[in-house]
Amino acid sequence: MKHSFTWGYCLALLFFLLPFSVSANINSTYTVENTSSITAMDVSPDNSRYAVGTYDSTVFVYDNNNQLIYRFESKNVINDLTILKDNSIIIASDDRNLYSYDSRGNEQFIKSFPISPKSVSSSISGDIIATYLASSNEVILINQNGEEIDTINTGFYIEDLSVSKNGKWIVTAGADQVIRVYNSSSELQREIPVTGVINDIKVDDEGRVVVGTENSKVVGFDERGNTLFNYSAKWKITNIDLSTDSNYIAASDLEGNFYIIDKQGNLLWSMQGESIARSVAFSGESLFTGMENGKVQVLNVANIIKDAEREELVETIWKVVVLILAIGMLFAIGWLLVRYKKKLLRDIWRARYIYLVLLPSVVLIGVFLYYPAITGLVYSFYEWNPGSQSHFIGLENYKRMFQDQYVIEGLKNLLILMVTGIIKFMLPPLLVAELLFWLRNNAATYWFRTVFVSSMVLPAVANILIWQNIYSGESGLLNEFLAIIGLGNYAQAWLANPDTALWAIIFIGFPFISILHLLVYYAGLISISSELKDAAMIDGASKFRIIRSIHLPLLKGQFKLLIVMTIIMLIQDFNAMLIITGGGPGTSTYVPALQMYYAATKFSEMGYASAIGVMLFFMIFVITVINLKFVKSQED
Amino acid sequence: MKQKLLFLVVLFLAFILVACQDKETQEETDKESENIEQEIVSKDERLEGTIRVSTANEGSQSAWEAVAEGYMEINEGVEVIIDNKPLDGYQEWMTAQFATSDTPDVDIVTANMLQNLIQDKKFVDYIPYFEQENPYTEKKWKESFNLDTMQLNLDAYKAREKGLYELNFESTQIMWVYNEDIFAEAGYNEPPQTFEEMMVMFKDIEELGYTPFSIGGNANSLWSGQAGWAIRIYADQYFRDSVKVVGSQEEDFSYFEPIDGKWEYNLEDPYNDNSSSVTMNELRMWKAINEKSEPYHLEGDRWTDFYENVKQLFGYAADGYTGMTDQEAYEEFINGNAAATLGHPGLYWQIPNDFGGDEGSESLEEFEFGFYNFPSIENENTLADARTIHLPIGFYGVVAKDPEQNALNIDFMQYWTSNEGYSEYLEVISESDNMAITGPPALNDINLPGDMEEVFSQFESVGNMENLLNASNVLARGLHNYQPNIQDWVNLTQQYFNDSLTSEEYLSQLQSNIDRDIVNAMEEEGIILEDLEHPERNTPERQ
Repeated sequence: MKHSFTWGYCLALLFFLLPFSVSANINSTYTVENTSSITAMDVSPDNSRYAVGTYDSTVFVYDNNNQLIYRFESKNVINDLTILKDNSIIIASDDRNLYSYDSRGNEQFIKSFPISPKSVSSSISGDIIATYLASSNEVILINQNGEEIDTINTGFYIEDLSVSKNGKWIVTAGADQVIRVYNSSSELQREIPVTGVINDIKVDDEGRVVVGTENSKVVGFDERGNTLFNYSAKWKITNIDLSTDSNYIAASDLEGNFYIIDKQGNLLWSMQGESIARSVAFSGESLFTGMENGKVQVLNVANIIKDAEREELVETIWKVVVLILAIGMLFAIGWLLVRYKKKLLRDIWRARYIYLVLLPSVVLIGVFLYYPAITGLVYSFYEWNPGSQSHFIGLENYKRMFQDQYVIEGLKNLLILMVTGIIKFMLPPLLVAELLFWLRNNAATYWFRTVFVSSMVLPAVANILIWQNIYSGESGLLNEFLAIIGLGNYAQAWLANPDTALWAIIFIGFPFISILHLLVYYAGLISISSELKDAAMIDGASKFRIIRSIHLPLLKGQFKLLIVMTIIMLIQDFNAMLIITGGGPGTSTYVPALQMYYAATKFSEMGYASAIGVMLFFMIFVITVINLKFVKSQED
Repeated sequence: MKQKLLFLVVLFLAFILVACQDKETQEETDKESENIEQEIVSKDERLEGTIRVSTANEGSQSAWEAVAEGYMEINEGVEVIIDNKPLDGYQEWMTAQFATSDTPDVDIVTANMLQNLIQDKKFVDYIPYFEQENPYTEKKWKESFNLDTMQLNLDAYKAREKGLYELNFESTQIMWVYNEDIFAEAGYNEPPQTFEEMMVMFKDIEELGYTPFSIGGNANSLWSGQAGWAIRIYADQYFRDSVKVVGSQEEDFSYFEPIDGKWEYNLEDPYNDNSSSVTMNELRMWKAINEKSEPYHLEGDRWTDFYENVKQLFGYAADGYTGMTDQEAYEEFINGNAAATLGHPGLYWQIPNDFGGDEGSESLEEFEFGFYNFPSIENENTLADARTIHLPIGFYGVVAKDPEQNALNIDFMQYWTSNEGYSEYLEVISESDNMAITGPPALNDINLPGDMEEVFSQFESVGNMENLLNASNVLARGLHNYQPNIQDWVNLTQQYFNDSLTSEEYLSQLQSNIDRDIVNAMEEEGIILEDLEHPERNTPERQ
């Protein structure tokens, strides 16, 4: 009792410790006045003030008590900003201007360009101030008066740039995914290729470079361009920053996560923000984070890392406990099996080779059939587009499905297709099987059987295309035939008329001799003991009576199997509609499976397609259960 | 006992699942990819690797193979695999490639059907590479192209900071192709000059027992094929004033003074709203649709008159055109059943070839044929003469991969667009019985073989309306590129053309569908409603 209490206490403690540390060390949180998305942040070298640029064209400059010193408004989005040693600020705006204001908010210069300056970066002293224009190869170097003093042609469009704090290095991220490192004399030192479009770049005083990429990586390079680390974040990186001593790298991503990584690429801390994480900036002991919703958080780096370490320790303990319990459980199961199911184990051991041979098939079926099916079920609750993040949306896909006219009309069409399909797939093959069965000449039976079965070699798509030609406009075989027999008045565009299109599709494959069905029936017929037939004939039973009273009752097992298979095939099949009509005209030939296909391929809405797939699965499941319940075979 | 055992098994599996949760996944340093960061391949170095080409042009397989062979002769370390696909089902195939993996095997594709992937930066932006030297011409790559013909204003692209993810340098011009013999039989020796004249001619031709014109009008063609072209081309006559709404304004992020500063609205100039004359702001288009600003609102005389005229036109289409593909429509024409169809200058060579019939089949009865541009609808609702879709095509996209592979793929494209590479391509086409280019390519360094140049020069340019943000392109055939809305538009249009709906009902339902879908359509392009409050600001990237 005492032990179980101790265990329970430990587990409870672990549970409570897990969420504890996340928000414990947020020094302050506030939202910029205009609640607009944060696009840029920087902290002054002496940590006495910081500036926040927003999508709403405004820059807010605060002191380290979060008191507004001044605000500045441009005419378009603030792209970037940098604070110099003297607390002056340089701002790049999409209004095609570069602005400079002194520490009190007085204008120093406005430099206009024909195209927007996308980024601005400077050394602490302000000796080197670099910017570049959208879709440009050139780094533009200006002095503190806004005068252009030099340009560097990088040879490729620039995606971002950075100047080291000591002004020794200028780095550019090229649109060709190549980092170019220049010294303070604008001489190219090295080029470093990167996998993925570079969204943000930073360089430290030693020439070490860190980039954040479109393919969710934060990659660090040493002074010689060798890869130091390659950290995988959860989503596309929006911004990165280096701590003053370059020991830490902060990053933000489009999913709303903030990260702190050490220079070996180990994650020290991460946090999920409330909205898209737009910006990060180190300030001495603190980290500033900026979000899409205008919220800024100031975090104590040392404390959050310490908490993260504690959290990791708790997690490790938790995992060890789980592992121990799992191993214990395994032993318990083994012991119970040995104790109570000796025979079962013995049987398994005896048939070990059979199990071994079966294993690959079971594993492959699991991987390629069951796993995707279960994944589909899970994703039916998500908004899931290929190449993008998925979001949990509960039952929205299912609600949408029942409001989707193509699914609803499709279900009506499917009902018609199922009723007619059962008739056309079940009856004609039975008739042919009986005819083959009653043929007296063995050679003729063999010949006819071969003729029927050989038609299987014709691909289904070819068959559909043949029928498309039969139905086609004026020159179609059907219309020409009607004209020849004097029924030209009935000729029409069979696939273009909403009243006839579905029936035209139903009649594809006439005279509907499904070979699979035929073979199953025929195999069933020849397996019926001939004594029954002979006895019935001696009693004077006609062939029809033998079929009705002996064949049909004894073929119930085949009926059961074939009905299930036919229904599955009919619900899943949309080949003819896809190839011939695309679901039209109007909604006349839609079926749910076709809408599922369109949702997956045309609309790129995999979650919605999965929901339709799940509905179809349940339809098949329910109909199969009903069939198994009501159609009794001989064995039942 | 059985229950206990089952309980233990389930509990065990649950623990295993919990234990297997790998919260550290994101922390894993990707050691393997470290090796990828290598030295850059310079043009002087020997190129190595594999390039996989799968464009939506199955018919040009042999021409592409010739280019590939030429390229591999120069670059022995590179293997180029050509596996072009049929147009039908291509979008689905490409979507599947990206659904299974972020970076599919294929390198060079037809990208115009994959707008959501372009939006997601899955393709290489050509613009930066245009400034680079093409090693096969030894000059900047952009100098290989006739940028005016390509309607490509590089400065405007810079201003908008939009990438160019589809390379279009082969041109086409959509025109009517007609059977001169049938027209003559109906008493017409000249093609129609106006839409009204064309309707009279079609009526007379129909009375002779011929189909006036054949057109693909099934679910696919109605939107993206021939029927979709005809609908948009005639809509363009009514909504040319769209440019006044969507053209960049001075405060816009997309405004570019050297172009926009001197632009003036001029309906006489058929290229007045093309990208070489003015830049456009997509947010202003969405704002206009959302706020139902004229002409981005499906109501009123203009929209009614436009759709009624289009309906009148389609009334002369071959029976069953709503179930017809573009290919079937062409076959109706080539078989002499239809008096006209829609086509392009490439048919000048293709039709005589097709008269010969396929190998083993009978030849078709030949007839004289000609071309004419879209005759204009002339009434008080139209603003200008009919233009057409006359633009560079190709839509070649390079799938974004690592820098080495990107550089290799671009190198192949540079070779193909050089005289050396494109000559290989043209040689196979000119010797082929079943291939033709649809118009003169916008390449500066090439010489067209045989009579190609002379033939192409005969076709009069009447202006282009494709790729503009006009109401004709973004509303006349469903809401922009948003497929669920387009699916509804196809459905309603087929009903409207079948007389199941009146014009008022049709327009009203289309507008209510647009109102229903606009938020999702914008979202698909990374735009939210709040963005419309400030169309002058560039939209930030979102999830």
